[in-house]
Amino acid sequence: MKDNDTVHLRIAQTLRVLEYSALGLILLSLGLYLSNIDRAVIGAKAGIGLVVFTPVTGVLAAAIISFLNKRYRYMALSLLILLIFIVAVVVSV
Amino acid sequence: MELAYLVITGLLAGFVGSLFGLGGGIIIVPALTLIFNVPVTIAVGTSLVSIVAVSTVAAIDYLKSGRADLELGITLAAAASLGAVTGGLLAEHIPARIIYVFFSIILLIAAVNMTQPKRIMLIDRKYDSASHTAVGWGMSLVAGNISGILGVGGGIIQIPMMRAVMKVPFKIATATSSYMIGITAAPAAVIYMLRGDIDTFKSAAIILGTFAGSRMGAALSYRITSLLLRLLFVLIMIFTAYKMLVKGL
Repeated sequence: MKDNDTVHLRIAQTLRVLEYSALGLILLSLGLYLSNIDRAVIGAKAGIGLVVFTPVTGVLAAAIISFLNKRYRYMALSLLILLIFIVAVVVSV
Repeated sequence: MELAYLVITGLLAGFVGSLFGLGGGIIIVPALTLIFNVPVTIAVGTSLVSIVAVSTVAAIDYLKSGRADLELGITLAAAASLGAVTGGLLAEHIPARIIYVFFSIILLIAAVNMTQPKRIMLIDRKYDSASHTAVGWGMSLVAGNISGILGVGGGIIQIPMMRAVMKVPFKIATATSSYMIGITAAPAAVIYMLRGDIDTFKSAAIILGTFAGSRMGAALSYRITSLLLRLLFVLIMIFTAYKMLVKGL
């Protein structure tokens, strides 16, 4: 039970860092947009990109932590999700 | 001024999405198409990005509290993300009207299912692990597919399915759904993003609102009883079904 709690907390901490980074970028880009600065779009796209890639990082963290805890079935499923994500990117480019 | 309204839309979507494990797409897509006159494909793409934001915020709170069944979430998310990718790729070729009508029927069936007394008894029972995982996997594939096409989190199908088929209590089902819908929506959102079907600043404004709204939803979900949670959920499903049907006809 203690292992499970640690896994949950570590993933939550990883997601929190990414969440605040994305939020900062988006706030900054909206501020630039309201000031009619062209480069705002770059910041907004970076922020949105970070939002979209946050779950991927969460899944990656889950895969690593589950590997360390020898929960291989859980790790395999996490890697499958990452593979699906890579396929989505490759097919769309 | 439009940005302010979009932030409010995001706030509402985030709150409702986080509270019920829905993702908020049921609010964002109708709001963008009906109020802000955004084309449906762009509304779907924008909604998917917001769903990821809602799920991230909700997932943090649910993971910390240990309410989400992480292993169940990853298991179902594997199937749902596969479905979402195929849905995102197919979305360009499927007439939206057919999907809207079909989905409104699914919503009504799910709403009726939620009101059955037999199901209500399952809400607060003791939970060890989910049953019928294979069936859940198949249904998650379908839920992910719908998510990729309609820009809805998939919680609409996932939560009733987890309760009725997998015998997961309502609060654990909503927490697990909140955790996994972001994983489901992310690959589909990438497809829409790379296709240019996302409005950058509308998305940014909505995401800003969803971050705040979903935090409120996750915090309040501790204080709301399962019965109230279920009734509100049923009302949301009926309302969304009506909106989808009107749009499809």
